[in-house]
Amino acid sequence: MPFIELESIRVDFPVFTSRSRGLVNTLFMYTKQEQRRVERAGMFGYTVHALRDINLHLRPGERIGLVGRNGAGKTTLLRVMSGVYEPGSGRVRIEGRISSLTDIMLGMDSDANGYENIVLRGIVLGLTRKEATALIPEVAAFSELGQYLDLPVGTYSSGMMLRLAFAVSTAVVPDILLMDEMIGAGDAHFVEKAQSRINNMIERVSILVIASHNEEIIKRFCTKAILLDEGKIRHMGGVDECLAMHREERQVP
Amino acid sequence: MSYTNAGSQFHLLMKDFVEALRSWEFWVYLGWNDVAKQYRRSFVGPVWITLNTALFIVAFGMVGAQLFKIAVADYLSYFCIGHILFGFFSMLLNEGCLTYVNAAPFLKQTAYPKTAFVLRVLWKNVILLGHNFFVILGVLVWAGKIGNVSWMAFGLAFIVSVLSGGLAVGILGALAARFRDIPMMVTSIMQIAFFLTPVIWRAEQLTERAKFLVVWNPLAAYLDILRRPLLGETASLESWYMALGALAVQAALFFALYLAARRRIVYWL
Repeated sequence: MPFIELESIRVDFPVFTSRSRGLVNTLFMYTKQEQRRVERAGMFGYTVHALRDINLHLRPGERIGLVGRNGAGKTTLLRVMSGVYEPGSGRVRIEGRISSLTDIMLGMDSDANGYENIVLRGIVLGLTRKEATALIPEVAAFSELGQYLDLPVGTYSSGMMLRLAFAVSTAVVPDILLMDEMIGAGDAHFVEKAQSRINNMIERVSILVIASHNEEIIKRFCTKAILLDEGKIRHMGGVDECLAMHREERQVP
Repeated sequence: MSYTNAGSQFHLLMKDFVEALRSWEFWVYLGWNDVAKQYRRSFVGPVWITLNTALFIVAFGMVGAQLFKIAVADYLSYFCIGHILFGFFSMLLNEGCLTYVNAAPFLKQTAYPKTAFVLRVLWKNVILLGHNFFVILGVLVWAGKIGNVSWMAFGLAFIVSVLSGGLAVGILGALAARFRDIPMMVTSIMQIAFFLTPVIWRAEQLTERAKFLVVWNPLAAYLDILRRPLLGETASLESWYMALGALAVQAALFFALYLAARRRIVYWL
């Protein structure tokens, strides 16, 4: 059974300035304080307390919307859920095949042709070469790229490229789907097709977490929401509740 | 598929290794693709590099033989092997610095095992060395030395070199993700090292006072254990001690660094 469990997660970010980026400049400086979200660390750097006291248990069937202002910690939280950021303290336990669709073109190579890119993208999504190769017919049909698949994708229009990336990225349904804003693809004719494919994918995944600034998206796909503020969970509950609180928050800056 | 951050850093590092080996198709395919990129741009692809290397080696080999008053066949095979192997190490260390910096988009999206990217860089450079190895074989055949090669000793030395290269890539990749001036340092160090390491010249040509250049130079030791078997000679025990000693130091550094910082690499990108 897929699940995500986060227990008292804390994520601190070192932010380097050009001076602290150099080995020559950074020798022995590291001091730390508490409280504020952005702090000086050492002489040239800063520490951002990106997430604090995050406790979450997501069970199969949950559809979570992440809302909050820019910089509230939405992307960071998604990255903790995908295992990308190993938190400074706290416990993470994730069970299930995760797919984060933040950059659907990740791993694609503009010099390689369409077929090679399907395999490449499939492998980057965690498939074996055989599994990735098996995707070709379905992806070719869905993307409607036909003979263009013989050409290097660098020669594609951005719409065609997006169609290919979208088709591969949504070809395999994971257990846990993490998204930073809704993904979509291309021209008017394709939009509807893409829409129904992504809806279908979302219906079939066990757990969905999507961060978005678009209220419509959250209302449509989510059954629960989390409002993040300054790296903390301010509220977790019904979608409408969270969106209302978020709206209020935005009015009073 | 399950993931947890629970466990000691040692345990997590071991898990990283196991995951990297298990996902071999990922780095093997990406490494191949890095080479294939060069093939796609021009039909001869990386063979250009081979041709380029061959031309340079022949041209300089002729001059060098004159300069050092050594028979052309002897000097050319000595220089050819040294130049190609040094090039392998040099490129490996230079690209090693960019291991994680270049993998940033990957590492920020999915929890890939970190060491898979080390293996990708290593694999790509081994493939390119495979291309250039044909030049070595060609020269050895031409010089009539191909029959003398002790392949066993070379194979053993090659395994040690690849291990050492992999550790170096891992160490430099992590350090350079944090300190962005390291790639520049490595580039200039390797440029100087080319002249301070017996590639163009032979260790025997040094005076007693300058011998330290070879004695305390791990690159010279690695070149020695790889080159001598190819020339039908036996590498000195000193070279083997130095090479294995360097390997042990690298392994210690690698573990120290990754136990402390493996978790942080993604935050630095």
